[in-house]
Amino acid sequence: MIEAILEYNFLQNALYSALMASVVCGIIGTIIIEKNLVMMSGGIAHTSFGGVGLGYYLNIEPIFGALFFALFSSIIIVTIRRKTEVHSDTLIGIMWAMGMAVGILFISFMQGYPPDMSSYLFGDILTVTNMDINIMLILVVIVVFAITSLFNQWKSYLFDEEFSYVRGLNTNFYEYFLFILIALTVIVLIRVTGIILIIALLTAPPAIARLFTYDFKKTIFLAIIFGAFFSLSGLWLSYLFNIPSGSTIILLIGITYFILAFLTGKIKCSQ
Amino acid sequence: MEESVIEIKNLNVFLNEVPILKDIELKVNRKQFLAIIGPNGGGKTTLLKVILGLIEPDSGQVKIKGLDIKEGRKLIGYVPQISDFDKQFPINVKDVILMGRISDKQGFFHSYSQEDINFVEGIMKDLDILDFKARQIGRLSGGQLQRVLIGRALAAEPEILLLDEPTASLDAESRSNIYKILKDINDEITIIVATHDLSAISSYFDSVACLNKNLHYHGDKNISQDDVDQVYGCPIELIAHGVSHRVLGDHSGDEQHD
Repeated sequence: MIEAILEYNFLQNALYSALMASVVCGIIGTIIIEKNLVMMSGGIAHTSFGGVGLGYYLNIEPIFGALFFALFSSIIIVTIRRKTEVHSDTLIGIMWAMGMAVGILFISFMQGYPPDMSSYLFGDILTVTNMDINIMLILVVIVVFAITSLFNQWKSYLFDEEFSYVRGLNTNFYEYFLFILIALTVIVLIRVTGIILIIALLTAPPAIARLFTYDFKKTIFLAIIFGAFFSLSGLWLSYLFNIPSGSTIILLIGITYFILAFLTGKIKCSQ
Repeated sequence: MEESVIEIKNLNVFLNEVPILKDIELKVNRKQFLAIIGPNGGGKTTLLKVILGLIEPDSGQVKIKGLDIKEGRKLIGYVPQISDFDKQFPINVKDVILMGRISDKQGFFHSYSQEDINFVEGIMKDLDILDFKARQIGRLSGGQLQRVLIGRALAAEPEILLLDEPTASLDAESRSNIYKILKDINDEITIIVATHDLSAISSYFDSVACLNKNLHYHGDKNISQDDVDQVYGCPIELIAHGVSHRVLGDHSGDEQHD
């Protein structure tokens, strides 16, 4: 496979995108499982499908439409969550379905033969283009810089929002910023695993990492390593057997989680 | 005339048009050790959160050393209820206490200085938690975790300490341990404790306020039977909690009893 990677541009792109996806998954995934924002992230991911449809309809790059929708929905979710007493679960459920509905509607408006949406829904790492790589790189740099440059403040905010607020941290800013970072992460992951499978890649690597460490920073690093290992091996398997890359990566990492959780005693068979 | 550090005037808080706090007047002096007692749902936590600027009052004025809340709360160390915490969060004792050193002043790529670390280790030593400094917080006992949260508040070098139910769900020994620590801290720092733990009132606090929507407070340790009746609606409950008679009796002018 090494020669194939050196030879084929599409395999190089697949490799780069898998590595970049692992980095943002390790960082943002760790944050969202600690902050219980998994469903929220799933909601943002699915809402972005509306943007994919819009992109096709307006004949612009669908990933830009998705980026716009993801940012827009994340800001709406935070704002409504802060201002009203609507339960976030309810809100996410509605936005989740609405985003998908908008996407399907736009695509039905298109003249002629409808485009194949499956690479956005289920991911196809082997069709990642050079432009996708450039967009992903920019988003990854933003996410990594945002978290590392304010790491102590993020940690304090994530651990105890009220205390941080009293100490003078602008927790409003951190909350909005976090949701924007989640939106950017979703976009990085769309091409790798697809909208529907994103949640697994965001949660499983940090969940595996948490089986081995009680330290926030180590959780992130381990999650990145696990993510990279599983997405590369998934990529290799999917290339070898010509099966869908997104599903292969997710199943590999999911099964590993359950086996390890069972072995380390986090999940027990009976009382 | 004693110097007042917290002054609350005519404070009202409503939640969905239901009054939570009504016409609260409170003046806390420097180095006072005040207990705010009252039943669950009586508004104790709400009152603390108003002082910290976490809840916006519907009317009234709060001054901390003459400053507005936004500036004044920087002088306050806050110890929230243990039950509000995610004890699974991957963080150890030392890192939690170091968080007290964070403020709005730090910029990008902040790291804790050796001075911060020394200061925090001093606090951990005083609170007798230095031995667990590398332990994840979920693996501490209730009393240990409570001391960690007090340590985090102290790391900010506050002039006032606000504690919300610091002894809830602790056994008797850890409870008196916490109060002894607070009593020591009280040499330097004004302390306000919201609690429904009536057993500690007589021995540790120098003043008591009763809160159940309305605040009954006379600036000292005396609560009239009338106040208690109004707040709890049931004086028998007080006796059942083992409160000594001194609290209810005449004990005026005894603020500096230690």
